[in-house]
Amino acid sequence: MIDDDKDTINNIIDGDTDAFEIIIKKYQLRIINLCFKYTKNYSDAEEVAQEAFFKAFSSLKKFRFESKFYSWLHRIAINCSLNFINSKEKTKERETISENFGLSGIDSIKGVVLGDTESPFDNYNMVNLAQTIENAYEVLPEELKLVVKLRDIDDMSYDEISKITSMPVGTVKSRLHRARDILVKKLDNEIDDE
Amino acid sequence: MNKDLKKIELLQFVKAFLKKEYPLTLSKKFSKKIMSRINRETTYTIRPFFQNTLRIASAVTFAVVTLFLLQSFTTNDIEYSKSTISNPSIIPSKNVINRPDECERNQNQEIKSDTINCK
Repeated sequence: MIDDDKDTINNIIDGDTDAFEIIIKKYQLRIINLCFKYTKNYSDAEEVAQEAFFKAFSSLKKFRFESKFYSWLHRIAINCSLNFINSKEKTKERETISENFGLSGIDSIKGVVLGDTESPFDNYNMVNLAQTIENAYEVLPEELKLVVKLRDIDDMSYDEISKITSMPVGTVKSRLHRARDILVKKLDNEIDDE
Repeated sequence: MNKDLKKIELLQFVKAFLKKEYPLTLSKKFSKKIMSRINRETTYTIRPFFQNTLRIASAVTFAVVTLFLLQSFTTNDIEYSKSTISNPSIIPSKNVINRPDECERNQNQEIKSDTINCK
């Protein structure tokens, strides 16, 4: 099975720890989104996703390339989410017991004192950024828009796109590259302006 | 941030936005937090290794020194006497004389030697 991440993973295993940041950047949104389905809270989802990435890094040597790396990471993220839900339920039970015995919710007090100190400026304004990309996509030339839709939205392979559009694979690739370049530059400018 | 790394991140953002599958919020330091934890934990796993090696080395050194000392103390070079050893009391031969009679006799005499008999 061909895995785009094979070289990166081998580099990490060989000691290039910093290369793991490529993996994080590549999958962070998908993993956070996955964790959100379980935690129903973005702050918790981010926390669980961090744990999932860390666990993946810790057990990277056990990865045998028998499946795609993302499938493996996906499985780890699900396990972390389930563990998080279980531990949260246990905490709730403890809090209920404490309240019944007239004890103050120490954890909740800690939560207030040691609360998240991140300001809104430390987070990406994802809704605004998404709007920027949607607008930029809408004004793309039709031939570029089509390949972006087929590849990045419908997840088709280059061969499939080539057959549908009756274009050589090389043309598909170059058009996709041009389209992505436009969108990435637009996003880069928007993030710099933030 | 590394240029390639930023491009990878932005491209993933674009894909997520086009598919409308993105979290509503994302910390700008998300990857940094994980990387700092990884770097911290990696150094922590290396440090105990050296600490443990040092501890083992010092324990071995201590054990070797102790064994050497014990061996030198309990060595069989000591030969025990078969008979009882009598330890006669040592009588000082100079300076102190326990002879009260003579002492009385010499009371008025000049001191001829460096022996101080009595006062």
